[in-house]
Amino acid sequence: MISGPGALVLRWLEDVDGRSAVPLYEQIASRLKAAIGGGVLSAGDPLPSVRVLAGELRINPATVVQAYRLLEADGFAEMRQGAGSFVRQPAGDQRQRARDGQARKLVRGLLAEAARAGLTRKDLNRAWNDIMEDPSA
Amino acid sequence: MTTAVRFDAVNFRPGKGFAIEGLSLSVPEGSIYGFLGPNGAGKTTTIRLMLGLERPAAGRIEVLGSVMPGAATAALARIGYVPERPHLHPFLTVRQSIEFHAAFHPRFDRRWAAELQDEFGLPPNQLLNRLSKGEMGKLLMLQALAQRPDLLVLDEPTDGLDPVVRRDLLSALVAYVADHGATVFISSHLVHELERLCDWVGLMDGGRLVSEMPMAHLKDGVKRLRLAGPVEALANPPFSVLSRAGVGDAGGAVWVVDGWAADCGGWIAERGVRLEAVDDLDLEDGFVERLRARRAAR
Amino acid sequence: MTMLRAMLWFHWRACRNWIVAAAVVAAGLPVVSLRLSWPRDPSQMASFLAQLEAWGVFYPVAAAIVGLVMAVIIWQADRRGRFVYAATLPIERWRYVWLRFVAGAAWIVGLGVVLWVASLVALATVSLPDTLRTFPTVLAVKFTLAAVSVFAIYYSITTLPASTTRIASRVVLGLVVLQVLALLLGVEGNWLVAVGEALIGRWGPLALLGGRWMLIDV
Repeated sequence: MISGPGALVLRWLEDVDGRSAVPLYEQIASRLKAAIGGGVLSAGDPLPSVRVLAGELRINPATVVQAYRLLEADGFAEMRQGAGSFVRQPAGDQRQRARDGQARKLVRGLLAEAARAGLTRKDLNRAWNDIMEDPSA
Repeated sequence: MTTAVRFDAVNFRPGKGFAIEGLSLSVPEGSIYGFLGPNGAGKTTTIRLMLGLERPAAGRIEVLGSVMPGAATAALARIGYVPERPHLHPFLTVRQSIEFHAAFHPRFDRRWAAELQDEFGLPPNQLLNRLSKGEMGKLLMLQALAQRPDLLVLDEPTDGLDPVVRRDLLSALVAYVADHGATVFISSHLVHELERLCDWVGLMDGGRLVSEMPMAHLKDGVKRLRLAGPVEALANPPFSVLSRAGVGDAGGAVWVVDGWAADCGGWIAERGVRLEAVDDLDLEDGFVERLRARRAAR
Repeated sequence: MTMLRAMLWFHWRACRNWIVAAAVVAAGLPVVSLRLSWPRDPSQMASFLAQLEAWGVFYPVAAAIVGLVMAVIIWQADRRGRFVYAATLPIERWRYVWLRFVAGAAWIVGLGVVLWVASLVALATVSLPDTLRTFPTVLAVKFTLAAVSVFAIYYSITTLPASTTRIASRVVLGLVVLQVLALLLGVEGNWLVAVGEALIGRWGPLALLGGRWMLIDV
């Protein structure tokens, strides 16, 4: 249905979570920031139109607009009147910050889940080291 | 803010036993309004009133600026409706049904209807009584959308359909809203489905509106608190308590509250109660808690 | 115009089996009745007319069935969906009923034309004595008007509010019960027959069904 960078964006956004306490537009914006920061999307790439993204994710179009506005405010995208939204490459340190933010969120999620399962830091550290040594472990 | 649909103190009794009483609701223009409630709450009756199919015993109903049911014809030209039970004529084929519908709707977009028909994979020469449930759901949505309505009234549009069909229907709906900025009034008991979609919610139970608010408010304001300590000390809190349950023997408790704000934590701490956790509720939990609170209050 | 066209097409889809059957009857009735009544011997012209008159009964019966069946099918089509589809179309109720009526009448007129053509064809196959006159147009017009009036009457009854229909059907049922009781008790008089006669009598609403239906007469 959609190809090119658009399809990539969708893959990154497929599992945004309506039940999460983090508002949907923030989830979308931060994932896109990570994708841009990580070079998955590069400057000038078009972002999917509001219609396509909202339709594919079955979310309120207003939510997508809100996410794109946030991206624009943070320097990761620009909205061109009538042409849609395009990726902008932010300054290097900003890019790194986006990556850091995404990584921290992953780790926080992992820690929360571990706490619920009753696992300690020590358990996690051991698992981490094992997997780093032998990814199939 | 203009409203697309407004009910003012509407009373209506469709039969013995059940009644809509004092129903007031307003659907902001351009919103996607999720109309939630258990089966038998009065959702379909409310929709019938909205379309001018019933005349209220008291109160006033205004839809797109027309008072219902008196000025229903003018309003209906701008309303796309997907009923809970299919209402199309079974002896027509898909193409004939679309053609018949188009003849009565001045803004009907035949080209887009043809595109949607392809996209949905609807066989044009199939008789409607041979369509599967999913195909019928798609045809109903297609006809409602291709009217290019300003208001879409959808009564359980995805009930009983498989996830793939549900996905296609909602995608088409959202794409239309993105292009045309229409108002959507969607009733469902599948709360989860509406979670990502709606920006307003109304909760219905027993013929009355339990509450009506922006989705963000529902998600922000309603929290589940885990408390430890002398919870009796928490009298007259700055939030409303929807439900409370004791946990264990040590005076712990789980409260579901509405109107939670950041400074409420301090208020609790001042009274010697430890706030162990503040959990967000998703739409479904919030919905269930509100229903429970209302039923307990009765 | 688009609405009327859609409605005509709708009626075709809803009643096409009946319309085709009625067209066969309308085409066959004049031909068959004339063929079977036509005498081998010119001296039997008198009995020919009597036979043809006996055949004439079938015209009002066919007209009544055509009108009734059409009305029932069209009403049923809307009733099946509990009138939700019709009631949510952006068109006033009276206009909708009117469109339904005009489209139904148009198909009946079509059947009348079939009858007329068939009558002309049937008449062309025989050579009549000068004493007899032919009435193909009168017959076709009468058939059409009779069928349309049955259709109109039945269709308007069905579009009355349910409460009115309920009251009316109770009154009729009550009359029938009273009549049966009267018959059982040996009371004189049969008002059902009287009502029937009034309906198709000279000033009754179904007057068109009564009278003589003759393709050929003196």
